[in-house]
Amino acid sequence: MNLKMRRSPQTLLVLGEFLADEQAWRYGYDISRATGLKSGTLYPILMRLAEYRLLETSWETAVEGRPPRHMYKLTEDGLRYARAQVAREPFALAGEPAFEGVGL
Amino acid sequence: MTILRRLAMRIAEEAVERAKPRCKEWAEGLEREVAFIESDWRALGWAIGSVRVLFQNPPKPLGNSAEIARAGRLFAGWREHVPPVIFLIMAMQVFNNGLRVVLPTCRTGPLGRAGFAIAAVSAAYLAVVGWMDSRMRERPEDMDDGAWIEFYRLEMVRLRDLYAGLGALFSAAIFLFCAAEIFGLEGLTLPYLTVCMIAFCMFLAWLSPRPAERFQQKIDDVDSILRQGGEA
Repeated sequence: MNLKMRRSPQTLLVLGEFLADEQAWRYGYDISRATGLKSGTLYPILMRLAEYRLLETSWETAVEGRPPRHMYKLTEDGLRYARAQVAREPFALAGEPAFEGVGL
Repeated sequence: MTILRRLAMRIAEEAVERAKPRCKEWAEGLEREVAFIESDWRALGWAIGSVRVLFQNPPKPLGNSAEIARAGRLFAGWREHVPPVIFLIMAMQVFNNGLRVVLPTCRTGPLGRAGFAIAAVSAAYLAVVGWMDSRMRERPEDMDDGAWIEFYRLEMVRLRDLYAGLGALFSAAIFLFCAAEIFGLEGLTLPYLTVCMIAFCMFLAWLSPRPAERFQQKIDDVDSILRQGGEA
């Protein structure tokens, strides 16, 4: 398994969010809301995870009247990596998401 | 559709247009999300964030020990043949702005002189960091890959420590230098221009990656490859 990713608190937040539902495909904005990370912070992290083949991406099947969305899910390597990293730094995930409780 | 929403869509579409091929899919993903964000202001913030993807150009991760050694040789070659540009430019700026502060013939008011003084101090700081950045350790004479790998890692550690310590304010100093230069410009009486320029400098500072993190990333790459016996 490739273990070259840098472990920033933001990366740990994103990994923790994926671990909340390991098999689910996630949308960028949903991850942003859950973690409190802005798009300019979140997407470079997602891009780097994908670069290291820890994240797979897919386009949603088109539904009439709605543009297909880009979806993300950790690969098997990504899941192993995320579990290992989150286990090493459990307190990094204790912070409150910035958007929590904000009505949208 | 509100003006804010239209602006958000326009920015996101522009980011897709201008994204590099390897980032295009991500820019498109960002753009699609705009339609699903209920708040117009948040949609605008999201779209502005998508601009950052345009500047995202993560270096290709090093794959094996031969690539680390090659990176070490390239690094040494680059450092040997390129003059310390930041140091030279900033040293000139120290001199230039210093003269503007002390020369009685310099026709500028107290605010202008203060601007030039701050610019000179910022430039001095940037020159020192630039000089230390350029001080590479002696390159290995050995042709052996192992010596180059060690050299490359030690250089990355040196640069990380520099930008985590003395050079930690590097981005802030660039911003301060630009802002102070603007204040120092003689005859500049348009406040909105100043605000625009400061905002532009802040935008540039926001876009620029933190050097210490960048070097730490490379150290992590090297360590990871070495731990795995030379192959990623």
